[in-house]
Amino acid sequence: MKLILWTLLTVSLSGVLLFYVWGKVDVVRLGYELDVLLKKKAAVTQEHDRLQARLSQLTAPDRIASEVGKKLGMRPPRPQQVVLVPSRPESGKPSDGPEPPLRLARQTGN
Amino acid sequence: MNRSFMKQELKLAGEGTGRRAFVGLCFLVGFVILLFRFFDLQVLQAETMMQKARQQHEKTITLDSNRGAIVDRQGKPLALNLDVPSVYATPSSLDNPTRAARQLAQVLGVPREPLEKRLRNKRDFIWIQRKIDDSQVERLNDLALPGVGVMVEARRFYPKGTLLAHVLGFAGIDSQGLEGLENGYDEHLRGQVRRVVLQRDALGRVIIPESQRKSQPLSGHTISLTIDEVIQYIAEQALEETVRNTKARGGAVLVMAPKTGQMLAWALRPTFDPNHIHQASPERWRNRGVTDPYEPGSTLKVVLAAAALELNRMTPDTLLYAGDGEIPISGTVIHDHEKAGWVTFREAVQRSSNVAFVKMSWDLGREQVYQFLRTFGFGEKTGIDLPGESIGILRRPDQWSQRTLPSLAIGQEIAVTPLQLLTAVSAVANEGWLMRPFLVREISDHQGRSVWEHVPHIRRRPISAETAKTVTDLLVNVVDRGTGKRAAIPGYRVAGKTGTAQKVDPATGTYSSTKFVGSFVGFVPAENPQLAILVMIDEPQGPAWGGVVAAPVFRKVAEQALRYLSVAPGEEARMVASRSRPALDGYQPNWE
Repeated sequence: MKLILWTLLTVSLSGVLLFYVWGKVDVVRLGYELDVLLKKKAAVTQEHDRLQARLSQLTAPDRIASEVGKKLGMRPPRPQQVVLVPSRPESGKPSDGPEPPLRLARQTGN
Repeated sequence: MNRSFMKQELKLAGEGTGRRAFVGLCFLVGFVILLFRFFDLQVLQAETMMQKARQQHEKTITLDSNRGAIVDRQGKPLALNLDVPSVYATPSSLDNPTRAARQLAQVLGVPREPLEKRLRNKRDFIWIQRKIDDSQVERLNDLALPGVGVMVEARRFYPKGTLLAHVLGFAGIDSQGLEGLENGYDEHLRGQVRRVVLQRDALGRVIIPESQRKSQPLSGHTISLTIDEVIQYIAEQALEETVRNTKARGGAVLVMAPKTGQMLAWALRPTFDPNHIHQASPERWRNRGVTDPYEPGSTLKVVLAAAALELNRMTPDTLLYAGDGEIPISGTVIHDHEKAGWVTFREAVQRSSNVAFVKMSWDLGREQVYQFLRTFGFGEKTGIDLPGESIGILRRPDQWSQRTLPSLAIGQEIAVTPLQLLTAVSAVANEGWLMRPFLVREISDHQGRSVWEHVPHIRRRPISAETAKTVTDLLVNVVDRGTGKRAAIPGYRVAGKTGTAQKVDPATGTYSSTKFVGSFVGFVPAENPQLAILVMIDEPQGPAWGGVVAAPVFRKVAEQALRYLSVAPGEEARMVASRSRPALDGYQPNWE
């Protein structure tokens, strides 16, 4: 009986110690994985920042104005090319509510 | 037989006990020594040992904060951070400093001799060159010089180049704000520099990053401006073209939303690229919109006209005698552009009659003129959130000479910053309310949460709404029939005033006959002002009249900006509903 008790105690203690060590080892393993992921995240963030800077350069107003002028032949509309049309309210009768807002329309032809 | 056997047994037993006792004693002494050593290490030398252990398995590193971005009102980046490589050396690890210096000088394009001298210093660490480009890194990697390494650092980058350069300012090589908003909001932008302890194993690998267990915000805050990138571009283009065509020394275009005080554009010439600050002289870095006062000339008549109307000394139909277009003042003569005879006050403003305004200023008197100038914000800071703002020059009446009052009537003997003048005229556009101009509308943390929002501030009310409306009508008349015709925009009612001021020649201390400042300040649409714009052209060659050089710039900027903001033309100015931008959204203003 005594032997059985001692055996049980030893096994339990060993189990607790093994569980503790397993936990510690797993924490270390996860730490390594976390470190790898953090490095990946840093690299992706760096790439994101670089792309954002590039996007910002490419969408700069002076570049767009230059590109659309040269490649597409676009230019600001002349006053006579801008037409104002009253817009319809989204719901209700046209006579309901306040005065309808205006919309800007641009004449596409000359 | 038995007795002798027993004696022998006892003798042997006595020898065994002594041996066991001896062995036991040795163990005891050994344990005592071990215990003492254990006590020595664990208690007496505890601090030293702990320090040694930390050195072996802990690594302390400094994490530089990521400087916050600056974006325009639509969220488009104007200043952000990029990770760039920097090259360093550990001179004590260099095999051959001469060879290393020669090879590094070739790759980096730096002088060899000073570099070699630095490499011969037996220091632990030196920077060789900060912020190098990728091609240089590749060449350095090919060289594989022992004792030379590359480290990644954050560099401030301004993707739009010269756009808004004077307002943004720039940050130094160690990411500290040096000029403009970078300097003024450095505390918010720079974030927190933090040291973290990392656990590492025998191979030096990081086990658990401590920073992840004690996560704290490191990045600086993002600053959202009131500036609109597109309106800024429109202003810069128009100004650049005029400065180039007139061969002017410089110029300024400031655009404000008059009802809130939000600055929408801030263009100055000459300018600089904050990505290459060393290529421009510090003189170019100056934000002349707030640092350099100038004599405003006739644009100041807006304020004086408002004073006369507010005090009921004038109505638009009051008659004034402008005579032959000249009036003697303390030994000098103030001239008009043309002879006028009897004119109404409306015509005096329309023609910008100096003689009529001199007589009007005499009627108002020193104290009233001074008080109104002060109430409109001259002689004090506007309170804009930019460093280095000047209060301008406005002397007290007890320091005035006989000539000062008539000089003030034509915008001389007073110096104002472009921003002061624009803010004063914006008060006319805003039913008499003088607002505090501002550039930063919101500050948010690295997760996008708003931590601070700017609410517009009313400074005071210099004039009533009725007076403001009358002044507006007078200014509309200036554009329709007077000196500001070139600022007119078809379909919109434009209110504004021209100004042509002689500059003081520093050599003689008198007004120059060849150097002028041509300016125009106004707002549009007059019924419901959305934009207040000041244009100032410094020392244009050829015709220098404000109505000739500055008014067309106003028209160009206003016309394009109104279209961009979808402000429909017409008698009753309305925002176009389908594309209305949140650019001019109002707040409930606060009193200062």
